[in-house]
Amino acid sequence: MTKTSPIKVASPSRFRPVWDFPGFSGLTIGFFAFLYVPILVLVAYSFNGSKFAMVWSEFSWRWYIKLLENDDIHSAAVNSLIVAFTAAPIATIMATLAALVMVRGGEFRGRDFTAGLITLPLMVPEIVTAVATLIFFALLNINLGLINVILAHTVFCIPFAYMPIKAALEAMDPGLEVAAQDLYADYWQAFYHVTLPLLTPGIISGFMLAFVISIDDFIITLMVAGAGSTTLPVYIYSMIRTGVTPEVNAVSTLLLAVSIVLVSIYWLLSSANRKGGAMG
Amino acid sequence: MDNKVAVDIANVTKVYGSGQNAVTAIKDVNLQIYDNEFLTLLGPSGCGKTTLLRMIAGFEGITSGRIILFEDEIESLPPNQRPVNTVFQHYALFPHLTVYENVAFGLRRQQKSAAEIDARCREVLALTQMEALADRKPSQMSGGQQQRVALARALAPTPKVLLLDEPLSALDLKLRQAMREELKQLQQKTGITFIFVTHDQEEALAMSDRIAVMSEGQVQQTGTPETIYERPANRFVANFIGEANLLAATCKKAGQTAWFDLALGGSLQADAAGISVGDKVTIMVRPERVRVHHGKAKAADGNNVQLAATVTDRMYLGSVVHFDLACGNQMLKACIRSETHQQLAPGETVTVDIPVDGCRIIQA
Amino acid sequence: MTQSAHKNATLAKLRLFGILPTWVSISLLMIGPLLIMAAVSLMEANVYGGVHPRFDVSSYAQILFDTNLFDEREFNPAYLIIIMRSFLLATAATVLALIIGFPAAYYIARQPDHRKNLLVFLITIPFWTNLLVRTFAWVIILGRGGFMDQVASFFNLLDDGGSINLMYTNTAILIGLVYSYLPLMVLPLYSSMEKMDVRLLEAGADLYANRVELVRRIILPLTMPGIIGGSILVFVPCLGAFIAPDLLGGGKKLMLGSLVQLQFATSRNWPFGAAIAMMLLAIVVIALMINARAARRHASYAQAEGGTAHD
Repeated sequence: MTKTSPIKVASPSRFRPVWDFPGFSGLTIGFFAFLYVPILVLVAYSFNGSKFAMVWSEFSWRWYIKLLENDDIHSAAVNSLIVAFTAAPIATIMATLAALVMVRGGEFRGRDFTAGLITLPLMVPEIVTAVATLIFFALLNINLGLINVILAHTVFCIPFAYMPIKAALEAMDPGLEVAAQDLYADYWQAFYHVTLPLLTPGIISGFMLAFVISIDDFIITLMVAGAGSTTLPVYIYSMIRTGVTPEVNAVSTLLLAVSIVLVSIYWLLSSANRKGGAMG
Repeated sequence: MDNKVAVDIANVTKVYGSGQNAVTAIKDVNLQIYDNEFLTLLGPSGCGKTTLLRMIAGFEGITSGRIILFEDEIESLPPNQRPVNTVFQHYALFPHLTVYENVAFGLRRQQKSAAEIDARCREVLALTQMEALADRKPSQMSGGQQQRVALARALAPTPKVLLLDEPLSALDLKLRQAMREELKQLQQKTGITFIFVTHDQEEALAMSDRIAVMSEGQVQQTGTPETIYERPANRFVANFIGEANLLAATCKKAGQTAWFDLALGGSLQADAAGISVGDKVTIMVRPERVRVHHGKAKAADGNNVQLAATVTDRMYLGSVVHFDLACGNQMLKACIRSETHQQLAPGETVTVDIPVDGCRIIQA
Repeated sequence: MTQSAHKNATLAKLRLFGILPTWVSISLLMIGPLLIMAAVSLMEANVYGGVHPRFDVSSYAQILFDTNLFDEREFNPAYLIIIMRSFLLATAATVLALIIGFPAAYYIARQPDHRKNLLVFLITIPFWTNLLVRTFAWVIILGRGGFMDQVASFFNLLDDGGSINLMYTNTAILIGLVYSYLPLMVLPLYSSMEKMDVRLLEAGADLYANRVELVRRIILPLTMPGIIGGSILVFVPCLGAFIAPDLLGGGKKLMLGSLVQLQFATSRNWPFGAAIAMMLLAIVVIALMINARAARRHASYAQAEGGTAHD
């Protein structure tokens, strides 16, 4: 410690609060770089004019153009969309009903069991779910093509739709329904005019999450899909196996873009919800 | 009380932000805190008292100035190098450690020997009557108990100065009053300088050797509780501590004993050096010095002022009765002991009697 | 009285109606298949794929032993190697994810609210994108002549035609694993750090702790639930990972996930695949129990934040 000296002005830039660890901001930047640079590389290389995926030559749209002409990719994409647009809504409806029961249904026998059941698809490793479902369909001779995939997707989409809906319900003041009943609404009217509208952003969020999960699913679909039921991720896999061309980069980039856009919309919705939504 | 200065706060300023958004929290504060004294920083929320305390502890940097601790400049030292410990407002007890481990924390960081640590912990736990709870976790204790553990923890490393940031604010009234005595005794027993922050003036008056009244980032007055209460330096201090009747007056005749004309009427003769004719001053009278009675005013003699007023409100507070009186265009307050008060009801016209020995001249 | 009894009955009926679809679908399409898979693991393999419905524990035995030409049991280390590799890589990935994620989680938790939310959102984006595609990005980076090689030759670190050649190594798989599941480590970690009261750090510093001691004595114990939660969320999927070893290991360095997949693709040994899957499942259950116990033990700290017993 220094003894008293001529007037010294403490410079504010030297001061660092206790909780501010030096260097952590740099490490965080490094963290985000690690997270995003590969994605950026992938996207950048999709514009690579050269035929060799890894050697850069010039900027070009040709692989995207080639995508448009690729029928196989079209049917794979269409399959993905069919599956997602079927599995996600069904999962969302089931998740909504389940959330209503779990949050507003009071105590009942089997409550904990149900809670565990709903999160089960999240706990089990995907590969295990995949082979179990495969065995299930094979031994029971269920060969319904794309419907097999839809059935498998619906199940593991349920927990993803469930989480935002449950959160939205819990954030909602149950006093609102009571207030509606005080104002002469019966239970169904209260539900229809008060609960449902306030729940709608949560339901939409749940749907979007379920949709994204379904579009992106690979392992389960790989094992469960038969010939002709190829979805986009499975097709990308086969492209990677046969030989890497920038076409793979292009279709991958598109898939990435779809996911990112959907998740961003979901986030914007839920942050608006957080600020404006259910009022206490 | 020694006259050695424990903490010298010299021209300290603290500015948050910069440019248009700059907020000056502490404006060029000068304050000297003596060794072995119990000093309270007293003021309303936002006055800067907690900021000042945190700057002494090292949690906030200072924009300019110096803080000197017993001849060592500490303003650029990080908190873990200052021999100063803090009792936090919400205790900040480590939830994952037992009481004993909480108390031992500072000692362990100072790398004292195991025997020293144990001896000191037991000593300090005994001092705060917490030995029986040494193996409990903070979540298993009441607020009052947690407060004592926080105290023990801060005392264990034998700091040169102990900082207390509104430590009693979370306790209920009876406990708070009991802790006031305990803290005062603790300070006297340990001989450590205590710097106490509170917005509760009763607390400040009861516990402190000296009080520094703060407002808007500046120290308004420093002095003993009597000085602050009886001889406030300005209107803010007069109003903040206790209640005050503030009467505008003008100097009619200057001198060692000056004459003042009150705006509400009447004149007073008071000791007031350094005031010139025509100067405007404030005359402060505490409500308990104001006398109220039925009947007409007696002849004025310069030793008291008699004013006609109407009782607007009467509040019985147990040991005293509080009156609001409308006098001219001003509201006056009177506080009269219950056994001597007259039955004065709202609406009655009364005479307010202000004796000169209950007055204090304030220039600001 | 009857009115409330009637109301309860309606409530019960509504509950049933609401929860039944979920019960049915998850039971039928998750629990059912898992049970059947357990059964299959105890059956005899059919060479053409599928099973003979005959009780047979040989698939479990196959993990450790091989029957040689003389019909004798012989210890077979091949699968043990795969199990070891899976455990080692999963552990290494978890540790690396913890090291990489810890400073970031801490830094983000100390940011003002609006920035916090944005940064957390940026962490979660990769989590919602296709895992295959994200792993494929590393194929491009690590491959021969790929991005990493190009950057290295740009800085003159390589000879002509040389390559860093990380592809098809355990290291490549490790990188892929860490990359795949890093968000899952950071999010629980962040959640724990956010809950921690900064004033505890001030108290620690007030009591002479330097930064290292602050981390060791205060931050680590108090964020342990987040550390354990995040570790499990990374370790378990890594064990059962399929994409990373397949794409970055070239299908030669197998992990448990790829081993399972193999049994249902080319090898056609369903009971064996089912047996490995059951093993994976058992590990998950153990991990979840560890997590539950740790969460319970650390739940008391969360209470202590301003929680008190009363006088």
